[in-house]
Amino acid sequence: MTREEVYEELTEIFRDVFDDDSIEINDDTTSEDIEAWDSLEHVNLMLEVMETFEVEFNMGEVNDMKNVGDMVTMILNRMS
Amino acid sequence: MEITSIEFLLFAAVCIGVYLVLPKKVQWIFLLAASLVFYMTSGVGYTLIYVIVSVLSVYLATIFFEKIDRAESVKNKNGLKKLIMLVALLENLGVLAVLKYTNLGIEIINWFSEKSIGAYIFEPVSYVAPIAISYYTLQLIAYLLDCYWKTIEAEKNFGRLFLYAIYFPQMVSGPISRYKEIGTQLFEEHRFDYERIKKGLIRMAYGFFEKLAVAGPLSTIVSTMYDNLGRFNGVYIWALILLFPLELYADFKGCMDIILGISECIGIHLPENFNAPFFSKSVQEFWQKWHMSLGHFLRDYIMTPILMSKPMKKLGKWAKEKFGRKEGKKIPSYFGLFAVWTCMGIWHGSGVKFIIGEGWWFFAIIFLSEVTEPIFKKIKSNKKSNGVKSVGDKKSEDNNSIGENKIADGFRVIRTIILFAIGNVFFIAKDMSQALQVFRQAFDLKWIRPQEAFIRLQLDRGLNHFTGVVILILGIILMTFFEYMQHRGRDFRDVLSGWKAIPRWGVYILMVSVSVIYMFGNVTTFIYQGF
Amino acid sequence: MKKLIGRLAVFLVPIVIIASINFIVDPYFHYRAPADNMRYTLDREMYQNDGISKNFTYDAIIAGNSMDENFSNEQYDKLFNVNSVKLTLEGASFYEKRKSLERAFASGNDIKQVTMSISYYQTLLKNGDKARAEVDYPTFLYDDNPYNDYKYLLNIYALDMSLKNIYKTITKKPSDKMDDYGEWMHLNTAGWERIATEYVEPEEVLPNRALNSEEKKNLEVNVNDNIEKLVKQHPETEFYFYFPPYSVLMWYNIYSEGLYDATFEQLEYVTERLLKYDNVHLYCFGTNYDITSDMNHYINANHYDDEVSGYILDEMARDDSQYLLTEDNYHEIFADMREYYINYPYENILHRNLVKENNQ
Repeated sequence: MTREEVYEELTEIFRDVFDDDSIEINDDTTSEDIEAWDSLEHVNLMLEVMETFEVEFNMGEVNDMKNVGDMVTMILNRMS
Repeated sequence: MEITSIEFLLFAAVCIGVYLVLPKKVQWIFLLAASLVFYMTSGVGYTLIYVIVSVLSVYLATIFFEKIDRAESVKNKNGLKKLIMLVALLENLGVLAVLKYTNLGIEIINWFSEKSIGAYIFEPVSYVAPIAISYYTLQLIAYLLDCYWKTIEAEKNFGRLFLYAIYFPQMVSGPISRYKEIGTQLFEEHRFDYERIKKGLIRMAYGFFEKLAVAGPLSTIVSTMYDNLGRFNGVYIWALILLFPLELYADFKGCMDIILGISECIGIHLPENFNAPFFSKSVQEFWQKWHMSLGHFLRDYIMTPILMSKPMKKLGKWAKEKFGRKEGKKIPSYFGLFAVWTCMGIWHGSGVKFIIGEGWWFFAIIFLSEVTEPIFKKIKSNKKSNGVKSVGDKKSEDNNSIGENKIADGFRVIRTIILFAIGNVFFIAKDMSQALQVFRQAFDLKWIRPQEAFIRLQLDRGLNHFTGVVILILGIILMTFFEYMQHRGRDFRDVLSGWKAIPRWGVYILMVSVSVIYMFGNVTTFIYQGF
Repeated sequence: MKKLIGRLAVFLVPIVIIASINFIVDPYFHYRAPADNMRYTLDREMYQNDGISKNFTYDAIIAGNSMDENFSNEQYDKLFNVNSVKLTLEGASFYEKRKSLERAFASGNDIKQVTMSISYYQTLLKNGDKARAEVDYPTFLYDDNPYNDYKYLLNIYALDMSLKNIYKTITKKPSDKMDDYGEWMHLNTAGWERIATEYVEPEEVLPNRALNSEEKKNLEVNVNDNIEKLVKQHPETEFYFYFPPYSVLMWYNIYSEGLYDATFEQLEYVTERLLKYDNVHLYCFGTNYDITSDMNHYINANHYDDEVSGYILDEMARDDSQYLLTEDNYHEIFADMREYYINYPYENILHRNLVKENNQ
């Protein structure tokens, strides 16, 4: 998968989890930028990400991941 | 050592002074020595052994994690690591449970035994617990799990890990730091820097002021009222219910300001515990800004692991099928929330009243607001389609709506404060029955004249103290102003820097002089016994 | 670094100003008697008693605890033709009372008489050799060490009183009267309504018991060391002691705590020891059943109002008071009290009468 393709899928997930079709994400997006992105939703988000991309993150990585750029990089790393 | 005592202030000053002139290699060792001295003089000396054992168990476990990873001959690496992790975890939690929470267990068992056989089985115990056990235990658990999840590398030097556990500013009331946050800072070189020391000192002065000039007098009023609960009712009880959170905040935040100020002078920036919590619009938001280091700990080490666990994932799947995606995914989060809030309640004290007042009460509020959210959204969207702009609509550009927003927000803030205050009645009341008495008398509307209430507060009997009251009110105004600035993202010291010299120095002098004369002020508790 | 020290030095200015104010005004009379044109406030017994005893001029002392705080010095002075001060302290132990009187006797004043209550519920059985533990004692005021005085000069409560005194002086308000010092009746109204907010009716009776060894020891120390010694050391001073009139509710409590006989044991012990001295006048007001059975005179089980206090002073000033204890009459008087309080119809004022129930 390419970075762009990951972004496409990821944007869908974000819009779905946070129930907002207007969400746009980029490398610098963090939980500060999306109001509904609190700690509860963060875990739901990560669960969706892991299911969709069929990758595994451990607890520490889930907690640590706070901006989208990191997330995409980790997804790509895990997928290869 | 009492944090607002001369002894502690001198101790901190000497530590800072000596630390900043020591060669780099010795600096952290000096901190460790100072922390040990502080520990031995603040608590019961021999309890240090508990700390040593806890640090040792975590130290060995994390070293073994890495050894196992590197070893080739080990077969079931994950299983073995899990076992070692659990042993270290249980050691830490076990010590904490026995030393602090035996009485909670006894309270629960006695409650059952009273219902069944009409008598208490156990007497409450009093074990000597090491100071700050609730704080350093959580820090060590965080470190253990971070190593287990490979977020950080294990610390190979036992002394360094030990310093992380007992760094003396944190041994009073936290904050609960992560190794990632302070691990490097603790061992870096720090030198005298005018700006940094100045900021640290100002923060310390403000902390002393909050504790001595605001929290202290408030605690006299609150405890007098709780000791004579029968003599107050109605509006005075409501004042009492609201005054305690204010006292609690001034005390806790003051403590944090002193601690973080001292650490800042040393050069180590500890995590913040508060972010203007009283300007929050919901209980959920409040607890994201109150005692943040504890909240983050519960989130990262209780909430996330629970939500990511297999049973919860299964539950989530089932719930999504049954209730639809949106509602379904909330179900597992309720379990997670419940676990977090139960822990929050337990952390605050060894008694059922804490679990209820600091735990389940807030869980109930958040749970209900989550559950009713779709209903309110429906109401709002109906209003929208009727052409009426709904209050609280974020995207509104109408001036009227912004005005309505402010009023609605104001109500939300007040509501949040009241809900927080109610939960804390359970925290401060002696026990469940006194807590319930508070609420009973809150609705007793027999009118007591203010002069009479004033007298019952024994404020006329030597506690009558005009200067103190004036300073208290000034202090509350100052705090409210700084909190509001914090809410707007501005550190109070930056705000002060922007002022002209005279008002700025006026505030500095007020904070320092008031703190000094309170430090020497003997507060005599007037026990109305008179024999 | 120099910059920092320079800045920090600025803070010395307000601190020196505050210390100076407290030193000059001296609200606790630690250094000197109040100046003639300087108004003063009398409000904090624990802090001001020592200063008063050292620096005021007087020849009589009203000492004791909250039983004595309502006494009117004006009435007292008229009755006995003296010039008195009040050195009472709420909740004082006998040890504290002794220390306080010792310092007064050492002040240089020629003390003609001392008046003091002798509480006989719990107080005699505790703290024979120390002050109450629960209270922060401002020892820096009770010693002659000037180096710890910074705790007084840089003390917010002292500053508050200094500012108050300055304000009073400027506005020519009068100084506080010794009568009002420690007086607490203006904060309370006597009667059942007030009593009910505090009084908890006992639910069971503990078995009548003797004093244990600790209590006996304290009793001896309190009487021998903390009262008798003063009497012995100052034969030229007249000591007016009295057993205050506890209400029937108090006696009910005493009974339910199993201390009925033990209380009379204490009364007899004190009386026997003190009557040996010529300079002692000992009174017992527990036999005024009109007062003790009328709850309208009390704000709680044992604190009576200022009317009763005034009555006590009047009686002590008489030559022929029926309440004066002598070798000949005290056995009879205590027997009378014993009889009365055990037979009082408590069921008239309470929900039950545990005394009756216990004796059935």
